[in-house]
Parts: sequence; structure tokens; C-alpha cells
Amino acid sequence: MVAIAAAVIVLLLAGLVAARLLTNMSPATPVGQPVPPSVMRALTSVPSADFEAVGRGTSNLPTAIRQPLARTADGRLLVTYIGAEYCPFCAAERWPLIVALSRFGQFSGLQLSQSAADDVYPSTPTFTFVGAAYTSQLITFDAVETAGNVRQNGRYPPLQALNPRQEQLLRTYDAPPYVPTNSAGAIPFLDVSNLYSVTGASFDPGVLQGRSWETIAATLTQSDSPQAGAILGTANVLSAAICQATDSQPAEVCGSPTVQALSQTLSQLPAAGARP
Amino acid sequence: MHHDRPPPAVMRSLDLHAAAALLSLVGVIVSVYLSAVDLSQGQVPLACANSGLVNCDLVTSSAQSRLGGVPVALLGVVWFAGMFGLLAFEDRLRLLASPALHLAWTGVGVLMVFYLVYAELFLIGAVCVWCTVVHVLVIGLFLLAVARSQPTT
Repeated sequence: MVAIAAAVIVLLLAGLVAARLLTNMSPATPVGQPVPPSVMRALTSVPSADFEAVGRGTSNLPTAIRQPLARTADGRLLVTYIGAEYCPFCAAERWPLIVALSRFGQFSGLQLSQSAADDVYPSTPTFTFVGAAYTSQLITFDAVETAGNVRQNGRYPPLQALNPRQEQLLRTYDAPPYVPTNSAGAIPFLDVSNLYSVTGASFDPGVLQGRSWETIAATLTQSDSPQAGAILGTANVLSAAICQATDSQPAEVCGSPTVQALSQTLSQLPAAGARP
Repeated sequence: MHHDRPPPAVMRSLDLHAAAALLSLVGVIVSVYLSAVDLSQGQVPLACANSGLVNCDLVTSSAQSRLGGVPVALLGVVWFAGMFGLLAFEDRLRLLASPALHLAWTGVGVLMVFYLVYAELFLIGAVCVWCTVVHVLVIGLFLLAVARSQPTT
């Protein structure tokens, strides 16, 4: 009787494994799962020495807007992200954005995601801001993901609608003279309290290709890796931009030599909207 | 010389009882460890590979690692402790010695194992070694319950 019971259990389990191997399902991916603690730790607890070792890394610089600071009603600085889950450039930019914002506050509810499998840089591992929350004494993070990452009837399904303020931001700062005409309306679009904006990814999303979330997270500790150069470098640039808005608060972030040096670099950027 | 040795059938029953108690105890220990990892939010390290197919971190933090908001690992503690309780007190309370009760208790555990293996393979895409240890313990306890339910001669 015991042998029969054991045989039945083994057969059923073997059947499950065989079904998984034989079905034409694409490999199961953890997309939609909560970010594992090891990945979350790697993103939110980057040692200062690693930030310093990378410096600007391979990050592009943002566009200087230098308009009056955007704040919420409670006085917090407003950082706005507009992207979409299918977009590979958004996928890349979320990594440093999460790293940078985690120096000023705390994310919760982040889930694993990836860019569309049928776009350039297919299936770039990333996260989604849908369902996530961010708390900070200084910053309100306003994120919107406009579409999903799997086509339905030929198009990516809409996820979150832009509110009038976000639409206004896109019309104003994701358009000439802040971006070239052929990039107007491009995503990801990031607005750092109307001081700086980023349109598109700040680095080559190719450095994330073919890697898992865990592998990318692990490479952040290797300051000479392309991933650390891209993600931590961009996080440093974004931190410097945010520090200008927060009036150099908190000191442990904004007082770091790299952030201070990058802040000086950003200050020297000409405001894109200014006429000579 | 006179020896008071129990008959072989009783010896076999005692061996099965001891084996089941041991598996339950190991199950409690492993489940407590996994619960501590879960509830400490990473403060208690998870000793396991975390990349590729074997990824305990991913499995233990997945949506499927909770049922109705309760960590599955914590349910494991309750289940194994319950099993240990059944075994420890069955001499005192005859109801607890019921083979049907043991079969039902462990049968529920085996059904849960099937669901969790399905979740690992089809929903999460990763396997957790610690979870597999727990699954083996549950199946072992079920088989022991089957063996103990057999009439002894």
C-alpha cells in the first residue's frame, strides 16, 4: 500500500515536471512577482563607497529646465515619471531611478517586470511602478505607466491614464526646445521638480540584456561593471539633480563628493528653454 | 533468561511513530527558519542559491508564498507542529491516534505540496531547495501515515 501511494505521488510530480517541459509555454518568468529581498537590498542599500567609485559612470546628463520648483500641496518636491511597461528605455531608466529615489525615501510594493518581447532590447528586466508606493519626507514621486508589455489585438493595453498635470508636463517639457523635434513626446519622461528632465534612457539598455534581475543586482557591487557604471552612474546624476531641488537635503546623500561634483556639472548646463 | 520484548508488529509501529515524530520535528525547524526569513524581511539570511532555476529568494518572496496574506512557511509551522502534536498525544487521547485523522492531515499536506510545486514550475519559474526539503518531509509523513494505517498482524 505504501509503495503504491509513493508511486502515485512520484508519478504525479513527474507528470507536473513533464508537463512543464513539454508544453509550448514560454519559460515561466517571475514578472509580476514582488521584487525579491536580495534584489531590493541591492537597489536600496548601495554602499556610499560604490556610488563614489562609479561617479557619473556612463550616464547621460539631463536637460536643464530651471523653472520654479514643482511641489505638492504639502510642500514636498514633485518628481514625475511617465513611461510604459513595454518600453525598453523605460525599463532601463527604472533601475537608476529606484536606486536614486531610495536615497531620499522608501519604495514598497515594487514588482518585477520586463519590457516587451517584440520591441528593441526585448524583455529587458525591470520593475513596474504600477501598484508601488513611495514615501519620503522630501519628495512626492508621481509615476504613471501608460501601457502594459504584452500586445493585445496588436497594441499594448492601456494601464494608467495621464492626469491633466502630467499631460501638461509632457506637452511642455517633452517637446522642443527641451527635446529635439523628432523626440517630442518620447518616453520615459522624467521631471525632477521642473529643474531637470530626462527623455529616453540615460544609458544603453543593452547592458541589461540577457541578464536576470538577480545578476544585474549582483553586478552593482562591481563598480567597474557596465551595469554599475550605467545604473549607479545615472543614480548619481539623478541624485545630484534631486539634491538641487531639495536644497541639499539629506546631507548624507547631497554632501557626498560625487553628488556635489555632479551638482556643479548640472549647474553649468544651459537651460534648454533659455534664448541666447 | 526471560526477555520482555514487544512483538514485532508493535516494534514496527513504534519505529514508524518515531520516524513520523522525527520528520515532523525537522519540518517544524525548517518551517520556523523559513518563517523567520519571511517575517524578518531579509534580516535573517536565506542560505540558498538565488539565481537561475534554483532561486529560494524569488520563491519565498513570490505572491504564491502567501495564502490569504499568511506566509506559507508559517502555515508549515502550524501543520508540522500539528502533526507532531497528533503523534505526541495520541497515547493520551485515543481520538488523536485515529489513522483516518493522520491520513487526512497528511493528505491535505500532500495536496498543498502539489499546488506549491505547480506554482514553482508554472507560475514562479524557480525552485526553492528549502521548500523541496519541506515537500519531501510532507510526502514522507503521508507515506508513514499510510504505513501506520495498515493493520498489523
